[in-house]
Amino acid sequence: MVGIPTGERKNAGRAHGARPAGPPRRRTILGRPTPHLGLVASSVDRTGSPRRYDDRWIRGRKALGSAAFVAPSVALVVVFFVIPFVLNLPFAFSSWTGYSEEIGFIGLDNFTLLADRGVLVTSTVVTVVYAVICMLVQNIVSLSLALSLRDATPATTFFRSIFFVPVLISPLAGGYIWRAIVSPDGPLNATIALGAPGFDFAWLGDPYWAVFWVAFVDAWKWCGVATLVYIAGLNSIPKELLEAADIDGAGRWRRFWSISFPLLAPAFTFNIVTTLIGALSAYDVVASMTGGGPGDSTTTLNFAVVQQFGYSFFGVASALNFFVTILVIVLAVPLVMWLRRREVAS
Amino acid sequence: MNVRLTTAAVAAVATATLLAACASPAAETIDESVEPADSLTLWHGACATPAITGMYDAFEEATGITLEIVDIPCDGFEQATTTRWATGDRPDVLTYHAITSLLLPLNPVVNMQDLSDMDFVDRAQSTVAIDGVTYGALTQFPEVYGFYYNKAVLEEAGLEAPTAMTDLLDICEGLAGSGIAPIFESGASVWPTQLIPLLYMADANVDGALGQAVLAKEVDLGDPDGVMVEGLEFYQELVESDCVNENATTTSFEDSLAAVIDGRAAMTALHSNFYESLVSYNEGDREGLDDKVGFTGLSADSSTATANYGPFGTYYAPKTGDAAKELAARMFIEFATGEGYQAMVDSGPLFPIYEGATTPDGFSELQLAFQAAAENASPGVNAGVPGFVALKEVTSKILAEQTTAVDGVTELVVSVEQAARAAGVDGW
Repeated sequence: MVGIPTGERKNAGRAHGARPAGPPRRRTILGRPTPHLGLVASSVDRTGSPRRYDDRWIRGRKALGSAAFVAPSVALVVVFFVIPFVLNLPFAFSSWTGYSEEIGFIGLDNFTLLADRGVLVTSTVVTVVYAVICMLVQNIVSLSLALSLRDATPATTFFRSIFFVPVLISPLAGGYIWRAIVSPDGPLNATIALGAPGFDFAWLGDPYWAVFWVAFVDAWKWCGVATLVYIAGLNSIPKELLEAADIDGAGRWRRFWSISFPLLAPAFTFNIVTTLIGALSAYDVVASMTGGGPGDSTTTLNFAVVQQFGYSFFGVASALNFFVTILVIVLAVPLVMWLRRREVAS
Repeated sequence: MNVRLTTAAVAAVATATLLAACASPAAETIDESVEPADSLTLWHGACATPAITGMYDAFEEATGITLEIVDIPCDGFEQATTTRWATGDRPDVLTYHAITSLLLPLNPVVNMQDLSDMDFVDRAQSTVAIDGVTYGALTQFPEVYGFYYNKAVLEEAGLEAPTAMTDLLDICEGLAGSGIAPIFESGASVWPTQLIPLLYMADANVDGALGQAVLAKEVDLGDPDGVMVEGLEFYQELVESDCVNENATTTSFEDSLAAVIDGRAAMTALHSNFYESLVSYNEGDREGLDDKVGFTGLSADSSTATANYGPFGTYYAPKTGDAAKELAARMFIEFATGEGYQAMVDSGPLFPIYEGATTPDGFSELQLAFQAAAENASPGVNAGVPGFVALKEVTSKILAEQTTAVDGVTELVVSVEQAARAAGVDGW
């Protein structure tokens, strides 16, 4: 037996009109109050008379139920992120190298060294530029694709699958394929040369442009996922709203900006955050396309970590890892907070 | 062989005598009652020559021990090896560099078997030794670093093969507007970009003198008037004078070999162990290759070459804790330097580096040029000074015109200080 909600009981018999002070009004479906499942329950004791459970016991039971759902995720985060991060932390301040068995505390020396070698500033700039380019390209292209492939028809289903294929390719393989395509004697230049004879350009050879092209390939690689999220977001928008706007004379552009764009806020939050954080961790596409070059123009922080690890400077690599984590937190947390506020406002 | 060619031993001992923090390992004993394992894991450079891989087959046939060969790619060989090593993974036999600057990060004193009591030590012209303890066996003639040049390209332009670094600028001028790249650089492979500044210092590093002076802090590597800065400035001048190929930041060392053979480039700086690759690019025609391509050592003011013992054919037996495997690993090294050595030398053909081995016939002109250059070679400064791995990063940036010689050397000095401190070099 489902008990009558306390709030409803208190308000029983009141005239319709101004809402009295008290607990917030509950949502209704077609004028009927939605049941208070789990909030208040009743039972029958051994004597047959109804008995209400204590609210605290019910809340505790609900919390336990929620905890059971959350526990696997928390366990994964703790085992694979929190514990490694905490274990790694002391090494960031240590003299750990492959040269010796001794590991001593050296304070901030690893960070000073990275700064002296110019790695910290250069790689941070490269990483942030790379991540921003990647995030922008990925989201703009994915949103465009989602708008084109929103309706489920055989043709759009086919193209959705096609655009998802890069997601299934290994990032390293994708990088090597694109490296061959854009090499000076590769098919891209050969195709352009059909219209512009003698065309020869090293797409990955310019220190300023290389980071853009590599970020572009990274975005290409993951566009399929973001597209699916945007399609799901677009399909969750009530068609009645769009139809009403259409009847009111709103054009496609106006309908997009005034209805779809605000209501896509949760999808934007997910895609912007995941693409940005993903790109801050870039390594594989960089390694396969440019090896961090030309010079150090595509040496992202993670690439620098692997370099230092390869040189057997494990403490320095740990310091860089720690720095990457801090960078992600500093950039991602305010971004998520801002996007969540935007969701509420929408 | 000239005494200068005992590069590995000189460099290793030079560094080792300055090591303060390395503890002496306990004396190792071999348990004679242990039977050797029937298989061995071998980390092997994927571009090793057929002579080396032929020796592997001969070892398996002679001993019945199976080699489980793990290919390490040659592009990025050092990083691929050290990264894997750092995870704690250990092969039974390791193929790796002989020069101490690259070997010390593997902490050989702690991690490698002491091979000092093995037969090959007395017969070898050189071994990989630290503080008098032998940790590695060499089987190949040193890698001789210099310039491969296309004979026809220079001749048609009325130019001579260079005899000093300054001649490169004349060759650049002579080939200007010809559509032929005077020097082919390999920015995508990164490591070849360090060669010109490194070779530039050969005159100053006779018998490893410069490297030892740097380690002893008698010479400041970052001195604006020093030879290191001079070498980097010379490289910068070559880059800024368009002496290097277009798209040099995206080409690999494989491209450079093909370009010199095809005549698209006049010269490229590489080492002698690419001979078999050159033959392959020339469709197996060794005589035809001699007609096309020549080789010369080069330094700032002379044709002094640079020579270091290379990684391919240099073997270590890491401590794995498995006595049967460790014994079998020593058997492999004994075979590579003893019973199987002459056959490997003959199949190259290779110049032998062990007493008792005979020099085979059939060397090409190019191979004889390597040998001639080796007679007058200095060890690379990078051989004995830890932290020189950063040189390739600096020269890559100079090639991409991202930094200058003066700024680059500062970065190199920081790297040397970092590695020297880590290695416990006295005074750093």
